[in-house]
Amino acid sequence: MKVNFTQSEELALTPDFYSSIVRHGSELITVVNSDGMYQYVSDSAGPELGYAPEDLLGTHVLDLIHPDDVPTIAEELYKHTSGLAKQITLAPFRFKARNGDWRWLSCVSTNMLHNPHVRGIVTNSRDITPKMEALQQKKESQAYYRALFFNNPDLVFTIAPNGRVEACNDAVVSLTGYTREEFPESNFAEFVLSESHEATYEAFRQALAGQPCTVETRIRHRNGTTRHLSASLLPVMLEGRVLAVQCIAKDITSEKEANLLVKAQAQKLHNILEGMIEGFFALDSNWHYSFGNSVFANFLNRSLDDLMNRNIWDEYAILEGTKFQRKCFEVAATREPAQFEDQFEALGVILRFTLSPFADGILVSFVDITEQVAVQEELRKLSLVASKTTNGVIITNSQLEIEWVNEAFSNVTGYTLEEVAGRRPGDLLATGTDPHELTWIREQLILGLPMRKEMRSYKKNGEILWSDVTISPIANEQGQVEKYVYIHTDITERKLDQEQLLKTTEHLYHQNQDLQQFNYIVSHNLRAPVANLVGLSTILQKLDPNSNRFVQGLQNLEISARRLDDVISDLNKILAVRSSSLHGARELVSLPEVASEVVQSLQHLLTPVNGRIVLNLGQDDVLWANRAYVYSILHNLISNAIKYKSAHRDLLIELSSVRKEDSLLLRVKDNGSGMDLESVRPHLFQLYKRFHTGSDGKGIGLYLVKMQMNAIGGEIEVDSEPEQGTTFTLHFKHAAYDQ
Amino acid sequence: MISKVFVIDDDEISVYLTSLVLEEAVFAREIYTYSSADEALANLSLTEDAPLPDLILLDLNMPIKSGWDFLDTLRPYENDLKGKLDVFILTSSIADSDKDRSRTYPLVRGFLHKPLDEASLAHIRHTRTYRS
Repeated sequence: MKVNFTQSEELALTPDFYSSIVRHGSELITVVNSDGMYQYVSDSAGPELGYAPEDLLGTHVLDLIHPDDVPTIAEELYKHTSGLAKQITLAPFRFKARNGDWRWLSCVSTNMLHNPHVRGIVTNSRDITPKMEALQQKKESQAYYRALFFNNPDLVFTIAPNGRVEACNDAVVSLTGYTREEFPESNFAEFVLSESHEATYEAFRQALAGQPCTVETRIRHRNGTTRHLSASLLPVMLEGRVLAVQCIAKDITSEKEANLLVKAQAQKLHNILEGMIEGFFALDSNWHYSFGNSVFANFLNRSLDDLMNRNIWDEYAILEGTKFQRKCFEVAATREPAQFEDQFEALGVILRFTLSPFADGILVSFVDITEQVAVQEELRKLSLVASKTTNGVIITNSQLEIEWVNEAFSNVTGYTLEEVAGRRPGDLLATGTDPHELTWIREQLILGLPMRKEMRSYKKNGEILWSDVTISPIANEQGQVEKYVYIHTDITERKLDQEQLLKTTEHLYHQNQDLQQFNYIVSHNLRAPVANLVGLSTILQKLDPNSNRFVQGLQNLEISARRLDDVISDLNKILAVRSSSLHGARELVSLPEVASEVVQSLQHLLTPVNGRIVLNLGQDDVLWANRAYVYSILHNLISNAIKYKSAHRDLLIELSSVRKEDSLLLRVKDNGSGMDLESVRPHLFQLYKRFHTGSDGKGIGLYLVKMQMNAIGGEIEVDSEPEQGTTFTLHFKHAAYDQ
Repeated sequence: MISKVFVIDDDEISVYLTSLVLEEAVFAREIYTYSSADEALANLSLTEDAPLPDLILLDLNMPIKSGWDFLDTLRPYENDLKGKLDVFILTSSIADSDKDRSRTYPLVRGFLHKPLDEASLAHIRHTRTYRS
């Protein structure tokens, strides 16, 4: 405190007067010397600080100052001692009272070190502790409020009675998306969604009436989305009047939305369970029904409410000892899901169950598969029949395209289902069948007519397959053909047997005819010379042995005897060939080699008639045959050509070969007199049939040629024109050049 | 006595023998021998009113045209020839089938086995006498 003196007063006042004022003033007055030691302490150090003046005298002024304040005070003190300042108002500082408490002092110190009467620093101090404490308390409560208001993670805002938002914290700003500047002029109602208006206004009215309350409301975020708030509205009362309403709100959007989601999911789950065709129920750990859908309820013909919380085993004693019960216990024990089927004779049903453990027990879903099982069983039997039957079965669509074949079909034909799927059976198998016939069959089938036919088909490997085929169109309820079922019975063996039988019969027939012919001709030709011999020997006895007739008769007798010998020798040749065709010795025969030999042996007949033979044969023209026969065949044909040469031109014989796969064609062509095949052909290769009168043919050559060809597995054909020439074509089937 | 006989046979020894037997027996005034059917047919005046042989001895087994072919050629004239011309088969065949077949030809009066002998000639005479 500053003390003002006036000149006049100064003169009137005595030192006692000053001393008295100082000692009894409310302020503490101290004087410290330049070292900071107390030189004087007024009496007023007493009540607050508790010191007597003599307690302080001689102590250093900084010793009783709060350590935190010492630097400040020391600095001020230095300003005095260094003469920088005359008078200083010190900032409040703490001073230790005699009882140890810290007291706040407010001081003004004056440098009077140069005043000869004082020689110290005079300090006037006042205890301002109560004021400082009140100030501190106010600061703290402001900090608390600030913390509560501004730093609150919840939304905190103040609404004036007229509804205006007066203040808000950062949480409000961040939750609503509006800046603080956009708020002051706004009414809180502008932020509340219309659906929440009523409840929110009601709460606000209550708060205005002094009644704190809580309300759930929804507000609009600046971006248009919705936020759910749980708001507590607290009236701010002053002297019985509501100044404002303080709101503290929590953002419960996530909880709300999660709740809604849970609700929606629960509804969805319910819908799913109700929508399932499976029956569904839950059993708790005490085997009580805890949930079920309507399929389940309908199946048992009970109401769900009635069933809930009842023990399944008590309700349905028929389940005792069933697979279902056993599985339930297993699942409860192992906590592993299970799926199985069980048949309930008493109910006449087969159910397929799925058991799943869950926290509170097990979930059971089931479906009635009674009909399905029956149909499957039926199908299984049918498919067993179709797939295991030895008959080939094909099922096609309405376009006759294969959809399915059975094992037997694959086994018989060699085609797998993959190979034939989508193809038409006719195109696949009946490749040798007349296209007109196939078309006809298809037309019949399109008309829905069933069909049964013996058909020749081909296997995958090209082998012939004879089948008795039954084709049945399968129509739907509208009468349209949807499928065709082909049933193939393999009759190849039977057919081949039949064919073989026919062939054998034909062969036997021919052989029989041959034999008859042979017998007839042999008997005739054997008997002819014999008859002559008999006749001649009879008549010779009557003739004069010296007559010409007798001599002639004797000559004829000899000729007849020779003829008989010839016939017997022919017979021998023929019989030899006949028996060899059954077990002939075959060898590799070189055709050009044999041909050359034959030409050589006949050269003596060719040269006189100026005949020529051309051999156009390959060196590798080899036959698997009896060499003697090949020789005999060529010898016969070439001698015939020489024998029946044309009288008008020189003879030319040409032998040429053509190889065809493993067979060989040999042509023996001459430019001889030829034959009229029209009349000759039926007898050409028959025994003792001759077609020329002018020469010495006996009618055995061509017969032998044919027999020998047949014996080595060949055929012979002839082509001839009178006076043009004759061509014999020999077809050797076993030209074994690769053996 | 028979005036005219044809012998048709390709076997020259058989022809020689047959002719010899006919001559020895003085069976006919004239004997004509042919080695083929065609040759014989050429000398058989079927259309003209010329003398026919009374008897033909016919062999069956001949090249080109057999005895059967010969008979088939005469088929159209059968009615004219019947009673004027007798055909006897003379063959070395002993097959019954040939004998049976010969019966289908009205002109064929008998079936004889070679060699021709006295008994055969007696049979021919008897057959001809019996008819007339």
